[in-house]
Amino acid sequence: MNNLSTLLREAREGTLDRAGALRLLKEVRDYSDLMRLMRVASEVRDECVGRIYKFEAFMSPITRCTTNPPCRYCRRSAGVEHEPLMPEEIRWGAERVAATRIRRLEIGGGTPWDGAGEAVINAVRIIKEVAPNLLIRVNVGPALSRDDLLKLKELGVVEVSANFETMNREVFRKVKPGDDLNARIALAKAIDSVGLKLSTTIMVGIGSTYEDYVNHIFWLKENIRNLGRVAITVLRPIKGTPMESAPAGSVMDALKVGALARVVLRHVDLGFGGIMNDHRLLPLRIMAGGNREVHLSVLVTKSRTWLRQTISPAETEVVTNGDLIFINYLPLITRIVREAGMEPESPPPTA
Amino acid sequence: MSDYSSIIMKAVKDGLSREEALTLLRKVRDWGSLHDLMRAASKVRDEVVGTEVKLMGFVCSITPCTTNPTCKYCFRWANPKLFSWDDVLSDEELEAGMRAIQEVGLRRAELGGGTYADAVGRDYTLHKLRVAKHAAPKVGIWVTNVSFAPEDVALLAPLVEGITSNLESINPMTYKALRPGSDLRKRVEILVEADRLGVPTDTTLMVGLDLSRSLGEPPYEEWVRFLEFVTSLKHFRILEIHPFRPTWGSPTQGMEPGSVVETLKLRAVARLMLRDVWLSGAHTVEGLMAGANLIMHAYPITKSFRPWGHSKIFASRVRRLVGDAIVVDNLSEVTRAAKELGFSVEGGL
Repeated sequence: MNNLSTLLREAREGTLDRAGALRLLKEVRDYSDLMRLMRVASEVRDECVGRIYKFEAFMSPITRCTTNPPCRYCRRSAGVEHEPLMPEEIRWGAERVAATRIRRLEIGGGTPWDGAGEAVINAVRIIKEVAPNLLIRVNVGPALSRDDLLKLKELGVVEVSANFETMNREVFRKVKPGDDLNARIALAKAIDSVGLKLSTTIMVGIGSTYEDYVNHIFWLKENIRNLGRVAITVLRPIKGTPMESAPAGSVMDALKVGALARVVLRHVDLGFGGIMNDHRLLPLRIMAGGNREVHLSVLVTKSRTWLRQTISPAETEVVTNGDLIFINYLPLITRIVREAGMEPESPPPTA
Repeated sequence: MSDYSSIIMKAVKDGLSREEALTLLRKVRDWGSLHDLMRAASKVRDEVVGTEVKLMGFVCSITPCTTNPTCKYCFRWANPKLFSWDDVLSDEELEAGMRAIQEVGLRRAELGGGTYADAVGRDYTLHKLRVAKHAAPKVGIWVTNVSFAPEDVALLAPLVEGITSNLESINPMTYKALRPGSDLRKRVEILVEADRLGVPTDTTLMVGLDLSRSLGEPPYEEWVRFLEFVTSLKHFRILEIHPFRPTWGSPTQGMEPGSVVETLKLRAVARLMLRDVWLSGAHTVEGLMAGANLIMHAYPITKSFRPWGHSKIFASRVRRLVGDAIVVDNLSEVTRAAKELGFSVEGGL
């Protein structure tokens, strides 16, 4: 039986196998063990991707979700839904995003099961006209064909999301009864096969076990050549949804799973989401091997729920345009990132 | 070996000098050194005060605030009802709140409120303390409203387990600029007098409550002087360190919030320097890793318009007690991080 020190040495060297990874999650039982694991994850992050912290703006929704029934943790299951952005709103948002000099942009939306290709391609064209050097990620679920992916690649998109949240089929069915894990896996493989980078998420707090997390991480390692980003999202129970009374996901488990993803997947970008979208947790996220931020950076959205960082009026820029809202948290977040010894990613080259 | 590494190693056994504390605050500038500092602080916490996390109940308000002018960062700017008479619990509500705290098994609670000046404030405070103590004799009371003079501490002493006088800063210029209606000297003297009488004390240091950040490094020397001052108190027990949070609508709205990284650094340095102090912040993973062992604001009792700490994320439940008094049953959420990270919680809660 391996003890924790041996497991951490394997984690540091990149030789941890599935069985070792599972033992590692089980052996890390207290704050001291967790800090040891986080230290190793940070060292691996520094060695494999450097002390650069990447920021990615977020623009949403560009598509309407037709998943039926809605995922049980999603705001839609509480009856909250927003109209997709119009072309002029996308242009306005892209101009705002470009003005921040941020390097990356995620354009996201719900999954229209009859296809999102046209809407996404139009959005990308508008954004590329405004800011040709933005690195764009598309996140609309399994609503893109192989032809759509090839077209997006041609337009300069670098990364596309296929979020599984869990690869435990029973858990998936339970919390995402209107969704299709097979379709998401097929999308991930298609993204990979056309040479785009895959971004994907693992959700903590919806019923997955340590075995599930390990299987998920190793599936990614063994099946995806162009893995770009993994985000550990943590359940934030939303009032009015069927999961409103579920306990929030565990911060400790999120840090453990995030650190494990870092030591197994090594060169990918690692982010956190859900209840981890809290600037006070940013030092911990960095200490667990994280290097990429989405929702605490720049947002163009119709959902006021993202305006929860009212902590720093001096360092938060908010601009409204009808029911669209632009929020820029970069001054606050880059300050924290620098204080933790990381360097914010440089801005895009001037067009 | 770098400066900070050798200081940290020594500090685990022998504590910190003023110069060493300053060096740590200045040299810890990345995740790696922060990790080392926090681990050392945690080790000292475990060895000196143990791995049982303490809980402090919260009752607010017992007095209105008559500070004039209002402190420039006070919550009252966002909600004028706070610390007004609308916010003050009646005797019946206070009794019910204290009984609820005793019944749930908490061993102590802070009674908070605004600073109600002069003899009328002192007398009102003494009355409320008597009501609270009578209702829940097993609960140790910490009075935090500073509605009394240093010479009144002897009157309060038989009724309380400890006295809180939140300084937040020891810089007179900061007081003049941001707390023009408050009196730093009086707040310091309350702590000194309580200590002279053998009464345990509690105070707060607020990270970021300064006007000099644009001029260079954070006010490390001031923070270390603060820590030295509380070290000089023989009966000092509780230190709360948290980041300044600008209140929307207040004159300080445009100030940067206190740094979360500097807060972790200072908590860890405080643990290394003060050793056996009860350090707040133990309701969070990051606080526990930085050496905290005390959860403040457990099971808060307030008027219904201000359910303290009622989280939209966690499943904390609001329960009406009597009249307009409510309790936010947050025990599971505030103790969750500690339990998951391997700590025990006082009273088995």
